Amino acid sequence: MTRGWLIILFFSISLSVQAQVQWLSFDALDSAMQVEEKPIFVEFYTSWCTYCKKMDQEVFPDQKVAEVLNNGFYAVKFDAESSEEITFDGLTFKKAEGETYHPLVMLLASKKGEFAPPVFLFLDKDFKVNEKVNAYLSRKKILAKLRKYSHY
Amino acid sequence: MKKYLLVVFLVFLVIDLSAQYTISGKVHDDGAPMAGALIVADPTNQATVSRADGSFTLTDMAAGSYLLKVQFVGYKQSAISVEIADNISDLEVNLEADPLGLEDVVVSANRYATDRSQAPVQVGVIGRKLLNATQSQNLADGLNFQSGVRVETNCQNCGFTQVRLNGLEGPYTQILVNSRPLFSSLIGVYGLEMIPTYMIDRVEVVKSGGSALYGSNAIAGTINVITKEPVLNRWEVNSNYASVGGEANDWTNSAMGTYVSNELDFGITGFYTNRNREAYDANGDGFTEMVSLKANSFGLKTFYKLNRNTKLNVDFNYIDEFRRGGNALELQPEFTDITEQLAHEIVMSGLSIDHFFNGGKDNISVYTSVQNTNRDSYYGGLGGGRTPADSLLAANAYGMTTDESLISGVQWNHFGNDAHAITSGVEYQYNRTEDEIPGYQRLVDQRVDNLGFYAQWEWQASSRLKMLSGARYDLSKVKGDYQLAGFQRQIDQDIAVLSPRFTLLFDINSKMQFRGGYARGFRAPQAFNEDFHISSAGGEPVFVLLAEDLQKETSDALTGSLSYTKVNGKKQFNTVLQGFYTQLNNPFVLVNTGSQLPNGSIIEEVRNGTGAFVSGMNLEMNYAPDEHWTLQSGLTWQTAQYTEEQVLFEPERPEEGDIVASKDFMRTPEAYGFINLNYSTDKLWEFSFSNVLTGPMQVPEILQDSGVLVIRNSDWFWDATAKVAHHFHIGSKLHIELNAGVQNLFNSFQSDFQTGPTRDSDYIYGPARPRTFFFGIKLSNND
Repeated sequence: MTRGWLIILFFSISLSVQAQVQWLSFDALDSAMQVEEKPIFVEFYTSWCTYCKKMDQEVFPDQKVAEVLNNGFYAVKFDAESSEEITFDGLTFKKAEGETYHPLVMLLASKKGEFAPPVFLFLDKDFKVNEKVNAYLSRKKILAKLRKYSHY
Repeated sequence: MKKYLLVVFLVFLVIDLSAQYTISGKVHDDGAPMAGALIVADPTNQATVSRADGSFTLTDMAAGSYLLKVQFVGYKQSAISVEIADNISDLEVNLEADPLGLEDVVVSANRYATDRSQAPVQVGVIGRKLLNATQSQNLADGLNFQSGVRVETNCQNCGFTQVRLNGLEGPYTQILVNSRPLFSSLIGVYGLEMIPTYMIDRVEVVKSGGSALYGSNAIAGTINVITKEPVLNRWEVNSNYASVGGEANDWTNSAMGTYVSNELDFGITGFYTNRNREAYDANGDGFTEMVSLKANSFGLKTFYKLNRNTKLNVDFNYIDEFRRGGNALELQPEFTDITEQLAHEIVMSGLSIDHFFNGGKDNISVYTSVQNTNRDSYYGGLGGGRTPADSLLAANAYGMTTDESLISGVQWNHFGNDAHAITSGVEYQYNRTEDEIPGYQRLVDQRVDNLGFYAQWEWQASSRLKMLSGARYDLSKVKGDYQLAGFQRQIDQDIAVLSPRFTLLFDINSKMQFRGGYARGFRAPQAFNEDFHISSAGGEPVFVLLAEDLQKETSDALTGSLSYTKVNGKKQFNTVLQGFYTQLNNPFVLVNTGSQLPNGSIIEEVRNGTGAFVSGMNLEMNYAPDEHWTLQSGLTWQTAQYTEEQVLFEPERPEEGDIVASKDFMRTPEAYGFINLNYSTDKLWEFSFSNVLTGPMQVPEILQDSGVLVIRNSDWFWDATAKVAHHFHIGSKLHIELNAGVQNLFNSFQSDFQTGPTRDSDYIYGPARPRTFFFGIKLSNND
């Protein structure tokens, strides 16, 4: 079952080089890494974050950005307010009642316990944080950063 | 003992093997809470992260024994073993610093505006959602939805509206657009209706006297209109229709578009609004209760980032508005009994440069804005008479007004380390108004120059106490020439006033905050809003004249508030109880002298009263149980009184009746408030119900036959609005919203308007409109 799913995943990644970023969930990340190791790009967003929307409208649909993200990285998009149970790096995280943000957000995307979207993480193959960006990234800026962490 | 525990433990296991428990506790470093520490339960690998206050919660833990490993970059890992047989809520984990293990994490700095809950001054916010839900088309419609704020209509002939903050009249409130004063004393008269709500992101209301930053005539407080910060590329087209009282049609159409470059270094927004409202006559006497209105406004806003730290903003606004009230609107004004007709042409333009330096710790803003208004007015008519003298006077009631103002200043903000922030600046304001109606031999020629210096210091004295102290020094020069028939008044005063301000914020605990403060303010003697407006009573125009030797008015304001906020995931509850006391010294009061000019005009005079105070309480309550429901409400109880009885009516001859005097402020209810309930489904539907409540108040009425002034008591008013909106998403590029509803659902409207040409046009109170059905359509790109 998992294997079949992975094949589909691979197909979709290799086939659609243009236009759309193939977003993964955190859960799928572990299995994908077992097949092929790649650096990871993570976006933490919320439904009310205007800068996230601007990036959805103008940055991620860009052909070059999508190409580099799809080929050089695993791209993960995560709604900071979601309450699903997530397994990441072997640990299981679940939001407790009364918490605004998912514990993963507090772990990976917060600064002094505060979170302000958008937050981007550039992780290497060992899940080590190369860079954390707490700001809007234009097409130019995101390409420069992506190329820094992947040779594609 | 241990054995016994084990037995209990086993019993638990037997009773419910699948029981799930919750463990919570706190992580700290020598007592200081630690946020962001990772807590992992071995062997299940269930994990969580500590919050800002160090607390953490692990849910769905099966009974058993675990090793809780707590780690944080730069600290030694800590581990504690726990036996879980029940919920545990008081785990304490202390982490010790491990200077060798420090690992650098790169975080790019990003600046965020001060959180509202951190500001030492209590700020009330009217947000976009509320403006939408209450079918507010312009600023005047939306302001009622904040405790302590009330918008009232003051004239049936021209629809002049003003805002009252804590019961004090319009000129006591400083209206700001993006923190800059834009309204001149003339534009203040009709300006509230000229700002369309789609331009507004939110309105911030500060209900306590005086502001060191924004000018000292903010005695009652400030209303700061924050316009939308453009980020997304957007377009929006709006069309709204309303049927006022089932008779008068009211159309508002608007269009706007925004482009912001992908690098966020350039942006431009343009908008256009057209409004066309027919006059409304509530009592069938042929005279308007709501004026006819035709308005076009056009604006452009643009910004350009010269470099990473320097931003240039330019904006331009043009408003062309025509309003007319009275009777026989199809005739030329001089052939009617009463006409008030105003054609405004307003041009406003502003330029500002913001520059950040010193790594974002300092910010300098330089700004200039200019405003020019040309107004053609007609205040008059035959007044029911048809004598040659009446006709002559009516034919000469045309007037011309020019008003120009300039504001220019420099402001410097310094954010020290976390503990200090200093704001200081210099601001120059100039306003010149010339208002001439030759037929009444009336002339107002007024020039006000004001140079203000201010400084404000915000100090985080401890983790729980924040203090804000500031002062403003104003040099004000008022030079005015006021003529009316035989009367000649002059003001030529140089005033220097120091206005200090002090406020503090104390965090009682994580949910409760206390704020308190004192502020001083002043108003220089000059003609304000309503003094440029001419109403009518007994068929004659009513003029306002400044008294000889009018002196400045000062104020001392005290405020204290207690707020409680509880946020639990998406469930939010917030309540604020604010007490206020504002004392006015030598307040400007309007006295009807009963004197009439030979041509019949009635004179009212602005004089210095002995003293007055407003005091009371604002209670606000907001609750959102989840993302679908929101409830917002506010209530105000207050008194507004002069220290001595003030003469409202002073007859010249005994047959004109007795002197009318009162200690109470007129037109100020002791209780008023609002409630808004909103329900939205995930995407498609929105329902809202709101109600503005206005308690009984005293309203002066000039009787039609005798010209005598009497004081009336008004009833309670329930101005309820119900609205439903439906959204359609067509593809990814088009969003359509259809909405419909009714304003003043219960038709709670004034029922004792005077009738005919000799009516008192100022005898108007309560909700702005009778029952009004509306529907609208909005097209926009998806955002």
